[in-house]
Amino acid sequence: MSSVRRFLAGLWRTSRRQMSLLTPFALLVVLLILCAIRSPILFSGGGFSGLVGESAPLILAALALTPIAIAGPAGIDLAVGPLMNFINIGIVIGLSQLGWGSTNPVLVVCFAIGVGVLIGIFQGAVIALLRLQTVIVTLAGYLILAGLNLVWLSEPSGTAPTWLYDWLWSPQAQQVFSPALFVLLGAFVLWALLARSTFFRNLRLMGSDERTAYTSGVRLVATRIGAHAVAGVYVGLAAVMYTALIGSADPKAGAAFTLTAVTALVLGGASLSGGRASGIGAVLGAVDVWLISYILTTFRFGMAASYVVQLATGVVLVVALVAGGLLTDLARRRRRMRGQTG
Amino acid sequence: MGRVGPTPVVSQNAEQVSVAVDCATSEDDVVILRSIGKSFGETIAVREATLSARAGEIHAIVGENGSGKSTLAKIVAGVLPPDSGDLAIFGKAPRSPRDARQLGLAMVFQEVLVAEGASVLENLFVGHDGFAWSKLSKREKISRANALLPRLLGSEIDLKEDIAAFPLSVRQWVVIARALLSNPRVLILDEATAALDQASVERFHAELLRLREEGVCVIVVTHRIAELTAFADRATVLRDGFNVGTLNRGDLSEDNLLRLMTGETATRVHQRTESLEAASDLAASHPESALLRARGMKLSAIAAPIDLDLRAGEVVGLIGLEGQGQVDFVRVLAGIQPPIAGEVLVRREEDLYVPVRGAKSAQEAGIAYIPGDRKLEGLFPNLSVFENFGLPLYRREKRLGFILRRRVHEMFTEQEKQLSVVHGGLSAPIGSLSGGNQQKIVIGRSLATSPSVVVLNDPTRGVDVSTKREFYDLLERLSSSGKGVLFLSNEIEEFIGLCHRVAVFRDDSVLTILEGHDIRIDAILSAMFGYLDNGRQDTAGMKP
Repeated sequence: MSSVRRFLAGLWRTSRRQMSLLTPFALLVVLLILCAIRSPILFSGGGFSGLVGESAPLILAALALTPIAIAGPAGIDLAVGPLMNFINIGIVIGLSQLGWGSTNPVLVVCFAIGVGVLIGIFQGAVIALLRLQTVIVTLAGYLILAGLNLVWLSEPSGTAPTWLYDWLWSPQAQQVFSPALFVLLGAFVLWALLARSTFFRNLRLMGSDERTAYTSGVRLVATRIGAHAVAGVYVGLAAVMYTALIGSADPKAGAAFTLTAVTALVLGGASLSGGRASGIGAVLGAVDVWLISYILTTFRFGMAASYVVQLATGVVLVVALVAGGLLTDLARRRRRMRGQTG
Repeated sequence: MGRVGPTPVVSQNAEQVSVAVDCATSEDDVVILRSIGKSFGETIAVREATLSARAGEIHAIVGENGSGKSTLAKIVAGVLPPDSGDLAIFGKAPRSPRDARQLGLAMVFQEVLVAEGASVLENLFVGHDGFAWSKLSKREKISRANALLPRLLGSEIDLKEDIAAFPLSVRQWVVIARALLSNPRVLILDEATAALDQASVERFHAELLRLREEGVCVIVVTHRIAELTAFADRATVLRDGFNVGTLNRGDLSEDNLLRLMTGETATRVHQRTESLEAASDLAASHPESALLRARGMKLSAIAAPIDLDLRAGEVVGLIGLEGQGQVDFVRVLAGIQPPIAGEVLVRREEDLYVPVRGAKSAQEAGIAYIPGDRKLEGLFPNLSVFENFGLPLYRREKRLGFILRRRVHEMFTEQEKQLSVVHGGLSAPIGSLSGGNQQKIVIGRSLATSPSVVVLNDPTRGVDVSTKREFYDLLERLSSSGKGVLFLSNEIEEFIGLCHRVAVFRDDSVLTILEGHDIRIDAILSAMFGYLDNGRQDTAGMKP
């Protein structure tokens, strides 16, 4: 329990430094308290591994959206859900159609990441070279991939590789240090490394002010394509965890998934005007979104459950954005006061 | 300037100027431009500019607004590709800012370009890193920044703080420091001292002299003549996109610079049909007939207040160097932005003046505002000719909430005839019209409300010569019919023979108002640069 306290204290310190993290963090605390009242089982080993396993695809997808949001302006990758589905079908059906099989975990993970990166680079190249808006290109990507998924597979079918299914559902996976947790930790470590690279710094500078970056000699095209390639890595990982979660291939779930991931991103304090979005924020936002629906399932809404989840998520999003806006306004005013006196 | 007259005149004049004109190249030249041309759409920014700058000199580029100096600097820095001509920096032509940087060139732009949300340190070293690897460790960056920035700023600064937390002057220093930290062999500064105070400007000059000692080629784009005569080694003067001469240190005097900038193009742009003096006398004999009064208006906290009366039947020209407050002034008159202090009064009846509060109130009081940037403030680019004409009128021309289309239509027909608008039908998209005709639509809809005061914000920018002449005739007609006209322009010649008075702006205030025979190109230009006829330089221009 002391490690949890220390972790939360660290998060709190980071949030104080970055005002944008304050809202998702405060929301997380509130949701965890609600969980403790409604469903304390979440704080057991099995409950925690369930949380990790079920929220992993959303966390990874929110991380995938982050570099594109940083690249700005209006950097929303709408294609993230259908792309994740596309790779999901690829893992379950495509690999055996190709004759490669899906028994080798390394091959499967590399395949997922490879497809994600390739499609990411393609989208990024179209955006950067033709100077089209991110939303428009990824909307086209969304439609094309969603259509392709349904052409490839008309309804949910197939089964995930056994080893992958076991990552989440075997008895050994029902403890704190589950395979899903290691995948997430690996993704976080990669993120921490990337966030310290000069590529990422150039990305943030480009997102904050493209003219400054260009006139200073930052390579805009390469940096923008790079952002989409990084996104592809995380979409690939999200697809692997998603396949483990549903245990089959599902051509239809991606569309709704995009919107959930964007909600997580925005809740995590990302600014869609570019330059400002953080990995920690995206993860917090994703966990928040997942916890909202988890808490609501502890009530008995019956058939209406999914609508109530949508409604509640929407309300929380609006409240969080307003609260975040007021907070940053306050901080700015305080900073200005300080600037005048100092 | 000269855009109105026949163009070759200007280059011929350059040879007639009596001071030494030195455009020859030498082997020390590190930056060489030959016959550079650049246009944006129909607007020609640089016609045929030739320039050479050596290592170890401070070379100034001077010229009035729109003479092409900033465009030329951007071409050298690889930001804009030239349409024609040759460019060589150490023998190579940069095709992007990145290319230029690799050739050892750094530029400080007129706009203070910083990435808000990033730290001071990151802003100092933008573009310094490669795509994936940094050439410098963070510790090295911090020590280099600490060695330079406090010296420039005159105080310590927290490098980790977000640049957004700092005022403009600090940002300006950060941008200058960014250029210096790249250890440039060629440094271009485009109005880099605009946001600095006097003490900072002195530190800045000391820095430039140090760079010159180190053999750096420093190119300074400026309109502060006093600043430049003090430390520049040579100056290239641009006029209307041509360079009209390069002055060596010995010839660098205010007189020579102003003479080169104005040239001999005192050709009358406009020949007024009635005598200006007569009209002026008419207006002067009725001082009580001021249509509009600016009272104690302040455009910035430290600027001197402006008091200006616009009388009926008068055309008053407004001019100043870029960013000296003239644009803010007309925007305040139009109610688009509030003044810092003071008020604008419009005459409603004999002795009843009402204050302007906001754009709607200005309109109702009878002020018609014709914006300069049609695309930004004047037009709805996706709508038709008629809709663009009628949209601002719909609010007035209605009965029981229904628009009187026929009434608006009549107004359109009338203005169309008055202004001789050429268009391809009422429903044609506004974009299908030429720039001049688009501007006529904007003007026509303002005149349709029968205003008493017409405020024009640089209406002739990007408009062809014959349409310009129509505009001058129109302004004259408006003033003859008893309206007051305020005419902001960037082209001094437009005022000659047209304006009864010309107000010259400097430091967010009116420096002087010229009347009658004082409305001459050289007098106006001198005033724009802060020189009044009694030979006193306005040193206030050096302060922020």
